[in-house]
Amino acid sequence: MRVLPAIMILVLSLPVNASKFFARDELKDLHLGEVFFYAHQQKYFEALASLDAELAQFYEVDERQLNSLAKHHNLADFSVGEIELQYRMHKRADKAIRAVLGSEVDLLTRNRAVLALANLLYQKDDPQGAIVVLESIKQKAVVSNSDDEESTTSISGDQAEQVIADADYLKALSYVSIGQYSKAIESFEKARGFEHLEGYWHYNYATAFLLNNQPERAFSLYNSLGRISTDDPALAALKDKVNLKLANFFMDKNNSLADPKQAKDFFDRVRLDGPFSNQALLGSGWAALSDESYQRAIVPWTLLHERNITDESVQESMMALPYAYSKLQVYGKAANLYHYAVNQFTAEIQRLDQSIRMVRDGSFLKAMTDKRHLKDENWLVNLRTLPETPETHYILSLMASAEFQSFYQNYKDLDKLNETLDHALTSLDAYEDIIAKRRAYIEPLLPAIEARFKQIDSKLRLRVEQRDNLAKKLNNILVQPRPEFLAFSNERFYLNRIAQLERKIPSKSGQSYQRLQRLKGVVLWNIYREYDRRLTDSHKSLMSLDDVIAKEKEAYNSFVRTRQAATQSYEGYTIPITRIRAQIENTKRRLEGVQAKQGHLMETLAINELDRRRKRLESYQIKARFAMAENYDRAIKAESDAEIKAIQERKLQLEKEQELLELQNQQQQNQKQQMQEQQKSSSETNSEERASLNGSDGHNLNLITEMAGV
Amino acid sequence: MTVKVYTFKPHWIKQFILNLIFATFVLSGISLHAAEVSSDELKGIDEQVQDIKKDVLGLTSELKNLEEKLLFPSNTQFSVFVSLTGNNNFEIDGMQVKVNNKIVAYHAYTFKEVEALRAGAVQRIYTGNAKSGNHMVEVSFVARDSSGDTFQKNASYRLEKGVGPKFVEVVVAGQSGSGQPIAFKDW
Repeated sequence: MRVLPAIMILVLSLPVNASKFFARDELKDLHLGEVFFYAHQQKYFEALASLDAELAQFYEVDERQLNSLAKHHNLADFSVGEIELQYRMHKRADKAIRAVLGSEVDLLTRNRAVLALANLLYQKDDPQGAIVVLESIKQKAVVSNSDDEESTTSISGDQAEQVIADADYLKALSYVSIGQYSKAIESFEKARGFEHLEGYWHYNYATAFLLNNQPERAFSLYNSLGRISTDDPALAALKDKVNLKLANFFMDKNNSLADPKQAKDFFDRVRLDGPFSNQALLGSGWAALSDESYQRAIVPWTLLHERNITDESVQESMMALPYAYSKLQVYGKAANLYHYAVNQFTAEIQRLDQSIRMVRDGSFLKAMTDKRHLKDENWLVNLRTLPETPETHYILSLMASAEFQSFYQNYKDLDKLNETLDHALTSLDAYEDIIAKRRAYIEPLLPAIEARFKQIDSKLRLRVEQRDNLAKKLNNILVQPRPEFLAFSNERFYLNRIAQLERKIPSKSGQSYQRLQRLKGVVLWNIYREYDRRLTDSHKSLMSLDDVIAKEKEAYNSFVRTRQAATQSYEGYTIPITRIRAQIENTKRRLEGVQAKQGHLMETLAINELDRRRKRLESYQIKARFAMAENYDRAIKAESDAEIKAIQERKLQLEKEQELLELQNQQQQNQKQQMQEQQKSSSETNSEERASLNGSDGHNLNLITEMAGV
Repeated sequence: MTVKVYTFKPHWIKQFILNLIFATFVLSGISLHAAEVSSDELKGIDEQVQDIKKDVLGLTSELKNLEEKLLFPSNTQFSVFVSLTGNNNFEIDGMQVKVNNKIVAYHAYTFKEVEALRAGAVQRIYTGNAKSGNHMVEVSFVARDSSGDTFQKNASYRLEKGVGPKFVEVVVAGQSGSGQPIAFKDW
């Protein structure tokens, strides 16, 4: 019983797109913005690749709060799940979304994560699980602040309300799936009035009543949905579908409530240019035929007869229209239409055979993944315009089914992944080439650079050491003044010279010694007198020396970085490249195997569908041939009957003419007889007179008789 | 909207359900009878596809890191990003980026890309290398205003590249009356 509601319910895919909820001015991370740039264009692979790299980098750093992603990392975590869901990576999406639910996130993000997870469970045929998850959707939440005080926060706004409505809608669908229809109705009620759910909500709401044994309410809802006025193509198609279903219900002969007239009203509600128009025109004809109104059936069927031959309804109309003419005893027209149908069916069977061959030789799969599909949304439909591709109109219903679409998406994804891997292999080749060229250029230069670097390095170290000594001395002077340390070189020369001379002079009371002392005094005087200024100048000099050394160090570091970068530009890549290449080749082998399986499955589905349509056409063709022959016979019979009738009528006319002639002759004979009688009577009178004259009565009588016989 | 209520005998519901089921099976029956594989096998293929996607994503991530390290090392990396701001009363058609008077990027926008930018996304238009020091970035874009007239704007920015990677965001505001049509943001 569980399969029933699952089939009846129309599932609207709930909107899942992180970037839709992202206010532009709030962006604090360029890389996350780039992820949404891809996600918004439905380039989910590129989006996930960027987001994975960004998150990996974020979780690797120690001080995450300094990373620009820190302000959005909850959204980024949740986006992984959402984008994975869009990319049909359900296993990983499930994990990612549950991880978000286990972390501290704002209420709106949490509700969206709950909805996404429930949607995932529902798609995995776990409605019970979806209901349990949806129970955690909240409009208010209690949060603890830093002072361990609790406060209540609530969410509002369009986004928040939409998420809650989507959750109620999904919960209702889940209740329908497990047969709890009254609860489903309650949940549907909560999701009432949201524009984005319009139509689907209405249909499913009606279905819930139907399943809950409230047929009148359900029918009223279906009926009202079948009468809505809308410009939305999807909603208009849904409206047509509902009307068609209601019409088919009233057309069902097994239904005690079958009422073809009522059915015709519903058929007539279906648009003539909508996707269900062919079925409606066909049904409308059959509805008219049910009360033997063949003339009325001819109108929709003639219209349908002119449409695309590949449609099942059109093909049926090619049998139905001559049938109606036949019933109207227009056998010639019927026979001609059957003849036309036989020719058309023959041509279509040939096309189907050719299509089956093309599917078998791989043209179908090749055409489906043609790059033009990226620019043409109706690519699958328009495949028929290409040479060497099958007639896709025969498999439109198949291709529109969710199952086939899922296979097709998988196949396309795998094809793109294969291209990505091919591109990666080419990139690896290019990288190796770059590395080899860099090595060839840099390695010969390195020894000379290294030697020069060592010289500069030792000089710099020496200078730094000298500077440190100076700084140390100056600091010591500050604590314990040592003016002689600040003597200029000439002063130090003078003092040294004076000391030498002092040692050479034996008497310290002589004039020469006195002079030396005075000289020494002058030198020291200058040193001591200028001590403060010299100390200040020394500090200034030390500071300027620091600037120079800083610049030297900068240049040194820059050189170290460049040298390191130069080495790193070709060192350490061999192992990763070899490993990645091996992984790519392994993944490619697996991918090609799975893609072949998926492709074979699609080809099988397509061939089976084409074969089904072919058998159907063959059956029509046989019936049409018999009907054509029968109608030709009837037409010929009718023609010969008409000829016989005409001959009979002519004969009858001739007989009448003969009778008339005979009558006229009779009349003439009568007249002659009368005349003869008159003559006789008169002759008798005369004979008597003549007999008396010559006695010749017998001869005259014979003569009159002869005359009368002429 | 006119709502007409039909009253039926209770047993009609079963017929209606059967009818709907039949109709639905007719539509989906194609695949149900045609598929020569079990649902477990279908599930298996789907899971294998998911595993491959996961593996390729991992490989792409590794390759991206390798590429960045090899071609755009962090000490020289320099990227230009584009975003839109303002009231969206224009439609951007193309963008050109020059670095030190040399054209490094030109991009013609698709409808989807413009929509993504309008939704708040950011486009990386250029990634290259630049040495430490000052560089001149010149940006110009071509767009159409609400009346369909084409206009062009340009602006330049002197950026100082340090030791680490450098990211510059070009914020396009269209024909902004008061503010700048193009603003630069250093990240």
